[in-house]
Amino acid sequence: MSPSAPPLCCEAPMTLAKMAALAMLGIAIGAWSAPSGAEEMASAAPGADDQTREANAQCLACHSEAGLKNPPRPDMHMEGLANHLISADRFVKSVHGEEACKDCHGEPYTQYPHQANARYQIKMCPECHKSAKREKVPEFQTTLHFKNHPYNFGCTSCHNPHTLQKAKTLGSEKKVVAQDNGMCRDCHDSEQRFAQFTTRERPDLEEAHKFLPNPELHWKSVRCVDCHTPAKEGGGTSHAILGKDKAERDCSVCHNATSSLRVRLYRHFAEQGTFQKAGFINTPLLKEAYVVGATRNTWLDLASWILTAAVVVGCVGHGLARWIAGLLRRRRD
Amino acid sequence: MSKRVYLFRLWLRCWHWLNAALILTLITSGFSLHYSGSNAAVINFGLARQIHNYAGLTLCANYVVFFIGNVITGNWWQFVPSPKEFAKRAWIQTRYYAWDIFRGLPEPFPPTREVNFNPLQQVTYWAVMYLLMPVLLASGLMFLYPTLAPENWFGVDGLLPVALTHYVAGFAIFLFLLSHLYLATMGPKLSSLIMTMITGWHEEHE
Repeated sequence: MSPSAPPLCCEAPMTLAKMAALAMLGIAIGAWSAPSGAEEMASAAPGADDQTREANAQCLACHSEAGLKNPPRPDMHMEGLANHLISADRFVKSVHGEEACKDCHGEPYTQYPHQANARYQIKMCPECHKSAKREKVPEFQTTLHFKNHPYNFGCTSCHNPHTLQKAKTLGSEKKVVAQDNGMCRDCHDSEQRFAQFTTRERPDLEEAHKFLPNPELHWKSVRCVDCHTPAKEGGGTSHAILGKDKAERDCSVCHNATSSLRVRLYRHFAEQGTFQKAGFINTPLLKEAYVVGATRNTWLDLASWILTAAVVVGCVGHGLARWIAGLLRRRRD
Repeated sequence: MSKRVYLFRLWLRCWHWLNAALILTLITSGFSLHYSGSNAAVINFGLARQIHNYAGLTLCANYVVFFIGNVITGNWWQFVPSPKEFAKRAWIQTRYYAWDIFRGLPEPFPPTREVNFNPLQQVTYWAVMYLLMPVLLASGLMFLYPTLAPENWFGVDGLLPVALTHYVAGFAIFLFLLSHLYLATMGPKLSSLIMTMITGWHEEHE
């Protein structure tokens, strides 16, 4: 959640009478528990412990579609709640699916009404993601995203912590591409979202990428960041997002036997050493896309050159033989 | 004085030389795309792509010209080998290339206005123009408009069979070009057959 996000549902004034009624309700049900429908809802990834699962179920009892339809308490700020719903299904698959909500949101959010200043105690990403602090934050600080919006553009502006999945859990590169490009296109392809950050006119994506053949096909097969970030030593994806003037425009960087996709989108295959099968180079790419120049078959190439050599040798040999035979005939005559 | 016979009309000669220029352009740009990043890539990928696309579309248009021109003029028969004693005539022509030519014997099937090509030329041109070229052009168009290709083909991208077909057909045309260039030297003089394709007049061996 970005620092500028509206406060959670804790600011509706509460009368003493209401509080008393709530206390009675609490005594009556023994404890605050999830509504009946929510008990079946997954609240954490399978690897999470029971405590996490239980704690998350309490949060999702309100912060879910089910919670919005059947609020467990009568005194809730429904408008605020509607803006803070979490898809439990997506959350449990996400990178944070094994975490308890309070691990990031902090203890103040475990009580209801949530404390007015609770949002200021939400953890910042680098508190857990140490490598982000070392590498990604300095990279991010070189970008226009940061320079133009230092106070309202952070990690979560792109990376939704409740839904973002690890590449390996998505199952295919096309899904990785869809997820990652979705982050960029959510703003760069939406007048409404774009206007939340700037008054500048939103550049038309098609127009900006008209040098690219079949832009839509490219956007389905490679990530925006595969061109819009500098190459990183040792592979991986830099967070130094590049604008159009500095983004990669040399097609052969990807369309090449040593395609940069090997150390970017497909780098985990390089780690497994499975880049050549049945004569094809960069085999993993083939499952998702035939990339001209990067996925050719070396056996077929070899066969082609052997045939070429045979034809050339045949023609030159035949020509020489004709010339010699002609010489001999002329001498004889 | 040697005998001359008018073989190729102007439209056919124009088509031939445009075809030759386009094929050479496509081979150069095609190699640059296929072997991108290596020494075989003589043109930068982005430029090679543009050249290959435009030249490919022009080749398609030129093929349409060839097809319509052949239908209108009846020239299409020249590229279809006559089945009458074809095997025997093909053998005689093969023997000529393999042996008789070194003995200085005359061509067994010299070109005439009625029959422009010998049996081996006929069957080769028939295969190239009526089989290979349509396959090459269709796969090229599918490459240009990849959404026409199947999404998936036995677990790999559907463009793979299209790419392999295009490569094999393209390379076969390249090999044909090499042998075609060599056979063009088999006139009375090295330049005779090339002049035939420029002027339309064929000069026979004395």
